[in-house]
Amino acid sequence: MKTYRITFFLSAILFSGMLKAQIIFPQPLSQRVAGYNISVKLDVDKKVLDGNEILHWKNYSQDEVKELQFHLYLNAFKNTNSTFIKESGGQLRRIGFDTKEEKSWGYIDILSMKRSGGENLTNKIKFIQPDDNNKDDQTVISISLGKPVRPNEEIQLEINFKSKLPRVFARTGFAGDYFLVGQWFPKIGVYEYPGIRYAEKGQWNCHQFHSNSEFYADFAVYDVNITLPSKYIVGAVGTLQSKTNNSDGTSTHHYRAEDVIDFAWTASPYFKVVNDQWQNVKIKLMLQPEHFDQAERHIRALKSSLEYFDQNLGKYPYTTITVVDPPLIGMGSLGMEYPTFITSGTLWKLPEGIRIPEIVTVHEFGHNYFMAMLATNEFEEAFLDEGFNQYYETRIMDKYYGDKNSLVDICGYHAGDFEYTRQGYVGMKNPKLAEIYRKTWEYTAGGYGSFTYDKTAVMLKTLEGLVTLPTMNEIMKTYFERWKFKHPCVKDFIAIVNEVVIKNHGRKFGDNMNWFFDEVLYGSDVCDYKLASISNQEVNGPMGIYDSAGVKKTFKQIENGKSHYKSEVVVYRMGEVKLLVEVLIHFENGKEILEKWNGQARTAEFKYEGQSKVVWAKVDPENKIPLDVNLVNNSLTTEPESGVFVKYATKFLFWMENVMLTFSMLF
Amino acid sequence: MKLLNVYTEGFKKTFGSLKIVTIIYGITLLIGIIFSSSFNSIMTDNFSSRNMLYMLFRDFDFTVYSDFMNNYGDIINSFTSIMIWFGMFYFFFSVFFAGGILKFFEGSTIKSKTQNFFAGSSKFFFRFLRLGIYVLLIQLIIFGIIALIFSAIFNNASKNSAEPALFTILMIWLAIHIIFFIFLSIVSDYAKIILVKEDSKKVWRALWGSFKFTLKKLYLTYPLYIILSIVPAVLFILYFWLDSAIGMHSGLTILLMFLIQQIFIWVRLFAKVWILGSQYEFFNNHLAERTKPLLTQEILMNEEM
Repeated sequence: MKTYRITFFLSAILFSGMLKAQIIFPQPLSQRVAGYNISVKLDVDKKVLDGNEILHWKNYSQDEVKELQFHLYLNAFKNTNSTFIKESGGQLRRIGFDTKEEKSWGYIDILSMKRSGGENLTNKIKFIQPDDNNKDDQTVISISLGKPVRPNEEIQLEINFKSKLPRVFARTGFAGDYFLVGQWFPKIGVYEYPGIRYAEKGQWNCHQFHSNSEFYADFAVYDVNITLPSKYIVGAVGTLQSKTNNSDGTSTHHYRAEDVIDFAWTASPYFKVVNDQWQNVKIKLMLQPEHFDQAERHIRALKSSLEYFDQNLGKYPYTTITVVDPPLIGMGSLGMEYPTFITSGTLWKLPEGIRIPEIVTVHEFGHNYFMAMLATNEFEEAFLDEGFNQYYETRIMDKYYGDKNSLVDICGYHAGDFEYTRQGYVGMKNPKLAEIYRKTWEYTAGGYGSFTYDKTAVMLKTLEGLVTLPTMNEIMKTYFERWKFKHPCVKDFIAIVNEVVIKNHGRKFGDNMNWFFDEVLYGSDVCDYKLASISNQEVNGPMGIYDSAGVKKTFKQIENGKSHYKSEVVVYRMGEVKLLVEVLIHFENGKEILEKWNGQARTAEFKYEGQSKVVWAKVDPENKIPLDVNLVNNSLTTEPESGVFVKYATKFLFWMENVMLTFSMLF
Repeated sequence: MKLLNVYTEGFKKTFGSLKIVTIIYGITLLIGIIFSSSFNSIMTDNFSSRNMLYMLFRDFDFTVYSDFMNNYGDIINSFTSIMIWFGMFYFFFSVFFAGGILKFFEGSTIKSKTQNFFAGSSKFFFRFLRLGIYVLLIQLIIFGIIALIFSAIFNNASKNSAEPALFTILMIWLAIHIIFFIFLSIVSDYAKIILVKEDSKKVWRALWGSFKFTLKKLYLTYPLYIILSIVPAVLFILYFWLDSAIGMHSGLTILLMFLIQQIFIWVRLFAKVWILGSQYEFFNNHLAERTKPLLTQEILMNEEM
């Protein structure tokens, strides 16, 4: 009996352990620096989370780490003196923060912090401001350790915390009964040491929460128990392990996620859930009831993304993906990404020709590759995530929905996703305002979105045009495979570009491609090539008296009576960015010549002599250089047509008459 | 049947004033042509050699359009401003012609229809201008009150409601604006008719009389206006359908669409005059049923006091 009892007891422990933590990846995908075991209870009326966190953190560096640094992101919404509110003016993506109601504010308090072994760290917590010395900002804390964490040693902390969720306007918070809970727990920063990004010595990389920044964290295992009223439907990062109904009318949802850098979740009593699958990936779509008829649009976009990334970049290793559709009142949480968990966004009865849900779904899913698996530093090099992802978003949308109508196609007006992305950069009042390579909080004069998303995507598209698509695909695949789960920086990407380009193209572009990134990534100048002039001078051939072998010959006119032309095509470099350009010259007899110019000098002249004149010419005929800010001046013809102007003049006439008649309706 | 007779008589009156309608249309077209030909000239002089723009002839192209607007959009913006300014000028133009149209309906000893028309336009211009300004002010005040009420309702609802409910509030808001706008337009039309019929300069009295009349006969005055107003709305829908079906990508299709556009404008003008003609006829019928005109009745009331 005793043996039986012991055996049973040991079996129960083993079995409950298995129930408690079902391993997802037997072989870890990443160096799991941290482990979070979090139990949290949500008070849906007070919008407060009571949480207990057991954090394991391993020191993989060669340093003795004497302090820990954490992000307390929710303190960005504590008052108007936080760095986030000061920089943003109390809005994000044009959604304002309602400061009149006390309930709108948010914060996170650490109630206690203890180290295993007994050291009480609670009183050692101090707020620091490594970026701007704003003493009122409480989004980063530092804790001095009595006993340092030695190399390869692991520290365990038990943290009790309380988080008050803000009314959602910047990704996280509540709106009525809807909750999108992001950045809600004390999250340890990234300790960078030589070999990681630019680190020459070991130090914490733990920035304050800025208006333009997103996040940066290490890979971890998350084991999270979420308790809230049973009527709430929950979705989260990772895989649902179990759901337990408690006797007090609440339910506890147990989630586990491995090799991820963040954990977010959502809850609402009103979600309508659609389950689907793509290969081995389980899809969970959580829609608002009024958007339920758009389920297919979301699913199609998601599956297109899964397929495209799988074929062109790399395998999606996770077994789940959850897509959350926020309600209108919770729109501040739309369009956001967490590992295996994204928020989309749409409007009631949105026509099929306006592809907002598709674009947002494709974009946010793509972040799983750049934000989640490559896990670049979104504070210092946001473009490595946003811009690279934007580039892929345009590739996917244009492929599956048409490159001239993937964004919108309604009432005869249409635009493609890449076209619109390019416009986001070239359409700036001042496209020289800043560089792509800039820390997010340093875009003080604006332009964060245009440079981080749009110009970066256009830069990559231009690189693709220069090196060809197969080489570009090889570059991106190599970058992803070599650097996933390793926090690369842009110099790592450039090194791969140089490696692959040289392998495929030799020295065609020089010793390396650094010149390209110097111009476009690190520089702020613009690219603009202009087809300046075409001239055709009819010549009669040599006339007069010429000596030939001691004999004088007289030339009176062209011998065979045919016209003979001296033609010249002039191209200007209007911008400061110098790129290899092609110029297509078209002659009257149908012949075409494709000239290649290194684009260095201010002008290039192409001269021809023959019986056919130049009719038209075009710089960059295959649109390989979308960075060019003015494509209208890229071409010129000697045979102008007026049809297009008559068309628009006719339209102008009609609309002018209508405007006048409409004003007459006022009387 | 009553309304049908009114429409028929109104149509006859309008048809009888075809020359006048065509004059107004001609002036509208002339103003439009002056500016559109300037537009064409500037564009041709500056851009006819830029063959990338030819892509816009075949179909709308977002890249070409947006690059053009980024780099040369000031040209278009200046024409857009001109369009708006001339729209406002056209308001005064329509005030001027309204008197002529009603005087034409009234009939005159002047044999020449055109002379009668311009004589009426000149005579009633300042009275109608005052009327137009008063009505505009009333429209703005009512618009402001409705906007205040509904924006408060909407803001409150947006904190908790889903889109269908918010959309419903917006639609009700819009509907109320339209209802009041149409009502005041009808009041303005009958005020014009009263001013012409009585040859009166008392604009506020005419407005008040018109308001009472419109309200009293709302079951007829409102549908009379609405039914004919549907004509331009239907035309717009038809135009967009034709535009997408035919397009403007060749000389022939440009010419065809130009003709369709001008027919549309002409019919829109005709419909506007037809509404006025029908209202005039309706008011005349009402007077025929009464023994005395509205203003005369008020004078009698004052004498009794």
